[in-house]
Amino acid sequence: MPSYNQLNEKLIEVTLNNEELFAKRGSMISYQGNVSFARSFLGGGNVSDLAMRTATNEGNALMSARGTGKIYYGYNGLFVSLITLANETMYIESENLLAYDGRLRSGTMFLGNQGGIQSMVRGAVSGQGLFTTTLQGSGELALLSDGNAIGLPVSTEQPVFVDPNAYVGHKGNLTSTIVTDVNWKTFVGQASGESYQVKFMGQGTVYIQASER
Amino acid sequence: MSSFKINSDRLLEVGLQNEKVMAIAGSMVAYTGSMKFEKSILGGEGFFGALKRKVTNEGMSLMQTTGTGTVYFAQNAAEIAVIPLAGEKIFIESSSLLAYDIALKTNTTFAGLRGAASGQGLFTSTVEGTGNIAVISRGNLITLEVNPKYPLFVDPQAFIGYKGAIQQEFIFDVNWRTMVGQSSGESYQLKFTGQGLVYIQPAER
Repeated sequence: MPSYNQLNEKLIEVTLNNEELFAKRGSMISYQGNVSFARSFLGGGNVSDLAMRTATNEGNALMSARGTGKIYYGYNGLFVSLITLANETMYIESENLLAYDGRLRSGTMFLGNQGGIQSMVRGAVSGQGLFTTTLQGSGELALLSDGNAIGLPVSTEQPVFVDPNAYVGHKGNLTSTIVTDVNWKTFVGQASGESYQVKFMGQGTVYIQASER
Repeated sequence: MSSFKINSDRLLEVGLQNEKVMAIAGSMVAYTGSMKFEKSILGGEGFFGALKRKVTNEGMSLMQTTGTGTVYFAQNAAEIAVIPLAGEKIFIESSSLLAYDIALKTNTTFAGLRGAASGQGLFTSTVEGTGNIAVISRGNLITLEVNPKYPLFVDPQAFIGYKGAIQQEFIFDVNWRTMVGQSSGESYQLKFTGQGLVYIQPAER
């Protein structure tokens, strides 16, 4: 089982024992041991999954690392967080995904399937397209964010509202809808800059970053 | 009164109980509870205050958040610090201000030569009263103490603000090397004398 270790807020170390790991292309900083790197087309998915990625532009350019040793990953000085999934599904923007391994199954999700038309609006509003990447199963994944990522717990009693531009991903059993806060000031050019929010309801965690795209 | 808390360096957490808080427009990243966001046209300074900001270019695009719950603010992954004011007045660059308690009063004052040298304009903002303000900085905010025995010299580009009974002066360190293009890069400094605190960031604009 690959083991993930956070060295500092911007660098992780992954130990492989004759295993395979998928990571964002160009994110390897150094390694020890006997590891080989290759461009990964399938990223642990299957061929139809690849076709989906290519067609949907949710293509995360991945490379696979295979072998035995320690590998160090970081990307553009961005913050890295490790997230553990326990038989859950994580929804994550492909640009925010740094690394995961074969224990998690990756897929591409049409936002329209998940929350209907509202979610499509979310994708369009945040400029992240209409598709998102999903990882499912039990294991760790590494998330990239501009500024540290913060997980906000969502419970049935307490929905969480998020600025679409600060959203990086979510896990658990959540549904989302778009909330608009438009009043007369918006129309006279005096918008507060917060006219759209995504409301998450259910049970799970929403991850945001301390900066807006 | 609204509560200000830093959540992991770059995120400000403000708790509101049917209260209001002012923040830079567009800086909200998430909230729980029920909140309303409205552009504050006059910034709580009245018509003349708003006019003065417009004229002096010390403009801030502010929004007023009203409601009950927790609201999170962040700006460009910059570090955030909370400075409590107890009936004091803080002088601060408007570009470094993230949020402040509605109980505080803001205004614009003449900053003199300092503003011109640091490229921040000739005017600076003041915040006065009792409550919290949240300040953004590149790198952690550093607080330096000034007392009558030890004046403090600061690079204008790293300067963020000050509070207390402080006078500021502009110091030139220009010699023949500066003139022949061999400047040390530190030809102007701000000298602070008196009693109070000066805030700087470990990065230069």
